[in-house]
Amino acid sequence: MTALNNDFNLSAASHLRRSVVEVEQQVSPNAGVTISNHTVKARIGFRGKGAIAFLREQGVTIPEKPNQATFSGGFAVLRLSFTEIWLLDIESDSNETFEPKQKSKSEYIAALESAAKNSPDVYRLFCQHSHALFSFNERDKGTLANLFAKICGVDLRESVFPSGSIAQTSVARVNAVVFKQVISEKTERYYLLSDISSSEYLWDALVDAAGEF
Amino acid sequence: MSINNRLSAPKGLFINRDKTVKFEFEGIEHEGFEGDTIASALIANDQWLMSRSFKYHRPRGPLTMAGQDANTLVQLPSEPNVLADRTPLSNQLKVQGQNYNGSLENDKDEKLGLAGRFMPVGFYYRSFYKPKGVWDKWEPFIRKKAGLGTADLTFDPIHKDTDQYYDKAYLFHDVAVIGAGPAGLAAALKAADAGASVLLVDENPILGGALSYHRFDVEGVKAATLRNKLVSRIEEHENVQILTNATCNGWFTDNYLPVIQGTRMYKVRAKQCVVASGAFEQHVVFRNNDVPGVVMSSAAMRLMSQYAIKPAQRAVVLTGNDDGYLCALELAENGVTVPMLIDMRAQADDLILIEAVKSKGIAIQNNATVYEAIPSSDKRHLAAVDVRGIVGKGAVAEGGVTIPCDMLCMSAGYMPVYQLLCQAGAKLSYDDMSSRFSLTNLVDGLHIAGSVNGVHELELVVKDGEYAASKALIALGLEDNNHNTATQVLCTKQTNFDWPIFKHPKGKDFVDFDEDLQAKDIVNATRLGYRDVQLVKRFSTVGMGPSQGRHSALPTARLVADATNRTVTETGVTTARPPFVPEKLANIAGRIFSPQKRTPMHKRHLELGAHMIPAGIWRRPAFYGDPKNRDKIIQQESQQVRNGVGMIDVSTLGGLEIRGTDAAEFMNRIYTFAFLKQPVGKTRYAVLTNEQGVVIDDGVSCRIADDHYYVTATTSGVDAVYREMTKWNAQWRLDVDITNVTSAFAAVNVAGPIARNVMNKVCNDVDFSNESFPYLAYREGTIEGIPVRLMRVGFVGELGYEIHMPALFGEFLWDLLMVAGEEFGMQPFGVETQRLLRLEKGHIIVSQDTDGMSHPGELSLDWAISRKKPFFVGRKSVDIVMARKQTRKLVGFKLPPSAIKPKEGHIVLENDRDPTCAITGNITSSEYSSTIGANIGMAFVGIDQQDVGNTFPIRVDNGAVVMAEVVKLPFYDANNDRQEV
Repeated sequence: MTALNNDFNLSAASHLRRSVVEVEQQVSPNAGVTISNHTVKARIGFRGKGAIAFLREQGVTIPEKPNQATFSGGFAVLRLSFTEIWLLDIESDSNETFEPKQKSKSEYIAALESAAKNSPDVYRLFCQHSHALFSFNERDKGTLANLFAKICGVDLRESVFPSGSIAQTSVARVNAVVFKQVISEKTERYYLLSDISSSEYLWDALVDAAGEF
Repeated sequence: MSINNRLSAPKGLFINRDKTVKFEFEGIEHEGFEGDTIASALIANDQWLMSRSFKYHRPRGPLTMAGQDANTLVQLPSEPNVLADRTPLSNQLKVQGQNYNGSLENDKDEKLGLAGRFMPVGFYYRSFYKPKGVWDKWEPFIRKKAGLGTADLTFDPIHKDTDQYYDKAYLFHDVAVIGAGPAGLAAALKAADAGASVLLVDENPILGGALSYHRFDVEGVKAATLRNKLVSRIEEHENVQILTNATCNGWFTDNYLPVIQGTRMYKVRAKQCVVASGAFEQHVVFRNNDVPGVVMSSAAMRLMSQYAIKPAQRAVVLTGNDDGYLCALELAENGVTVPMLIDMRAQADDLILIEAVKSKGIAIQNNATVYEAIPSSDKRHLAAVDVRGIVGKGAVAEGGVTIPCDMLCMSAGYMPVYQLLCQAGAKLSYDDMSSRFSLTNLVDGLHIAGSVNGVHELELVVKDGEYAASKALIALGLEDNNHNTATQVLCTKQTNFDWPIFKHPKGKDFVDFDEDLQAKDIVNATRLGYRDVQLVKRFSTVGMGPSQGRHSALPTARLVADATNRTVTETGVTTARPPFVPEKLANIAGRIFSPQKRTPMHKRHLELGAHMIPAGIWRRPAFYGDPKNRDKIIQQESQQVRNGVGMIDVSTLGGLEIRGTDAAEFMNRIYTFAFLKQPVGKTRYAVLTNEQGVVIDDGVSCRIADDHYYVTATTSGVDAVYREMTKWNAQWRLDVDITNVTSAFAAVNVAGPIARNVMNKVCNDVDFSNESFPYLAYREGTIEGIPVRLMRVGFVGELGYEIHMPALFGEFLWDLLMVAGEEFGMQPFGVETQRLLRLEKGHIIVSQDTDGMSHPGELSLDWAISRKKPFFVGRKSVDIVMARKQTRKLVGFKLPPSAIKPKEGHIVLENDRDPTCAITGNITSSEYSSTIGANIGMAFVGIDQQDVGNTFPIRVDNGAVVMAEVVKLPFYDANNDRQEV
């Protein structure tokens, strides 16, 4: 096998990442919705026949079916197809250590990337840089479902889109991955991954849509 | 406001008497109540004249009080054609009449009515086309008269500081119930009780439909009792979402329903839909049936019940069913003198009703009709009616009686509100024997209930609503809470009089109020050969006005049937298409999502004064500076690259990762060139053809490992290339992973004779010498710890390096490179400059220099096709089209700088002598080059024109022809000395 050096690491230089959406958090006028920008936080994706086995070897709990997400240790694990998994840092500071790995999340993601290089049939994906990641918090339950009804043609109400559900859909006419986490009986949190090159447009559309809440 | 006109509570369901609202109509201040419509408030102020008719400018007032006719179209400051009987009053609202010449009261164009006999149907089509050229003289006059109202051209549908914010939102429900009358309320309750999520839509401000105005019994108690019972339960039901003041404006497949409520359009997705839209009351056709004061019986009832307005002092009722009797009772009980109830039927059936009416001192005249409405001397309001006996179908006795009155209430029957159902493919049928309508052939998931279903008895209407809900619940698989299976109901109540048309020799017996169409207009259309009701519609424009045939469709069908010796069943009625009511452009043009892609360096470009242009969905810098100085700036930027170093943002370039054991085989099948033996660390030009042999994209293939390629594609083509790749591999089943990484990478091209200096300064782990990193090589390295992919490229014809970096580092590395390049005078350059530079170098841009027919041969890309490999996509077609006799060729051309510069798209002619000669090609690229000192370009020319040294004619602007010389490509650095240093 001929190859150039194998050091092209997407998780490198995390401190130099810049999001084109400079706003970290936006609260809607009536404080009903808070939108946060997690674009520069650590994440990685893998695809391929060997991806599931590789991640299980690494101790990652994989959702049973496609279009399901699980949440633990500040990570969301998204199964986007039978053989495609994304791991996203969704909550705390990426430099914080987390149990039981005793590593920062960035280090953990970087270690996964390195480990994958020598694993057969595991293809590293580029979601760290290809996608923006936003989260949405609501003050009153149901607000976010109403917000998304303004920008997305998929019914995201809890009755049909429970916690851990993933919708690979279109939001404000751009491709998006939307998933949901139920925080408490009274509130839900939504996450949205979308093409980074249209993230400024999408952020503006989201803030605009949140204006009435 | 005349307080005396207002009735006491409980009348006035819509109004809040505690809140007075001031408004202006035609410059005169009036008062109304909160909840009034413009029309109800005007009537409360004894102002019945609200508009002028479209053709004859006849005085018009409300007909239905339900927004179902065009008689109340008024002008608001920023909106024309507003329905006064539908639009709520607001404080300080300024309302004007429209379509008049002078004033609403004294419209100079009213005299057009006198010339009515000279303006029959089709008058416009047949009068202004000869003698030849006369249309040009008539057109300005006709255009001035055409159209209603004045549009506000400064209107902005998105104005966040005000309520003027039009947008859209989805709604998802198990069951959508359209219409909140008794049938809709019953259906919604039953569905909600069974656990279905229900959306209840009604165009009125409160729920109840006919229960909010109609009288169903002699005592006048049933409606209010039932309404209170149903509405209180509905409003408390957690499974029901209510949208009032909302109109379902269409039905689309799978119950996709646009529901407009104010400034928002809801796009409703309902698993099941129950249409309980009710029925439109129908008018009687007689002379002057449009005089203000002539109204539907339901309009009078609405005025009393919903707005607490005593509508008249003295009213006559003209009916063909029992509802006229109930209207007469309601009028009488609310202080209106009713001298006569005229029943077109020979005899009414309900003796109790007859006795109740008689007990109010109301005379009943059977087998009679109003033959003519007699207006007041100023023609602004009804003064009396001429009552005649009916002696045959549409025929009346010679003499009659004249009864003074200021209101005539008409009730000829009902037509179902069939529009949504017919949009869904339902069939509307009419039974000539019973004068009843029926709707059949409903699609799955669509149900019907109430008077739209021909059910008019109140108790049966409720049961019909429950039956429709039951069918919806069964389809949803939801169990009925009560385990009751509702049963289908059958209503035999006769509501439609069979021939409520009494033509008058003097005309003005209107069938269609919108278009001033009289009975004879419809009949005459049939005499001109338009036998089909659809043709009559198109010829006469009947039913094509704002009310879309709500009242004209049935009398038109009857008249056409009669005139052509057929039945209404045979003629049918005109079709109904969305929208149900006029839809504001603002509802469509409101907040619209227009995605835009930006590179990570976008802000930097703006800071540098870039003139941004669209490139597909992307925004790219055309050049840096004022567009007024475009030509100068482009030359400056190009000279910077030719003589020093420049940097361009090429992040929009498509990027595809091809990985896996079969990656090389995949590349070899997709692209025209040979890729199996492409060395690792090398790049190779990649051309993509489709199955027709047409060049559809190109790029650069970088081999990173034996099983790993990184391929670029054009900015606008990469998504299609990705789709093609995944499509083909779905067939080939090769062991490859294909990933579109376009957005994952930002990229710049650092180009110019001293580009290497900049690269050496920022990247320490790559040897940039020509020996170690030669032309067309690929390397990987790091800049400040950031991994980068490096390509030695020559697109602009100079020493150049493309740096591809993960996107989140794009802005950081742009800044770093700009600083590093400072000492070398590096400047950014834009995409228009790049187009000039690559043109000088003779490189094509796929989709600019190619079209949907361009095969590799005519683009001189033979060298990029491997004939040794057995297959690539489009191979067979490429062989065929290139073996054929060629008809055109893409060539380089040159003109002196003093010549007119051709524009891209200008046509190439066969010769410059014959102005009718063949077009042999077109200009694909054209720009002035200060490097070459000439206007240069590329063009498709005829195959006979391709030889170097030939000249060919180009037709430029204004029909002028310039001669260009074919030159050998490239224009610049033919030996590649500059890019391979």
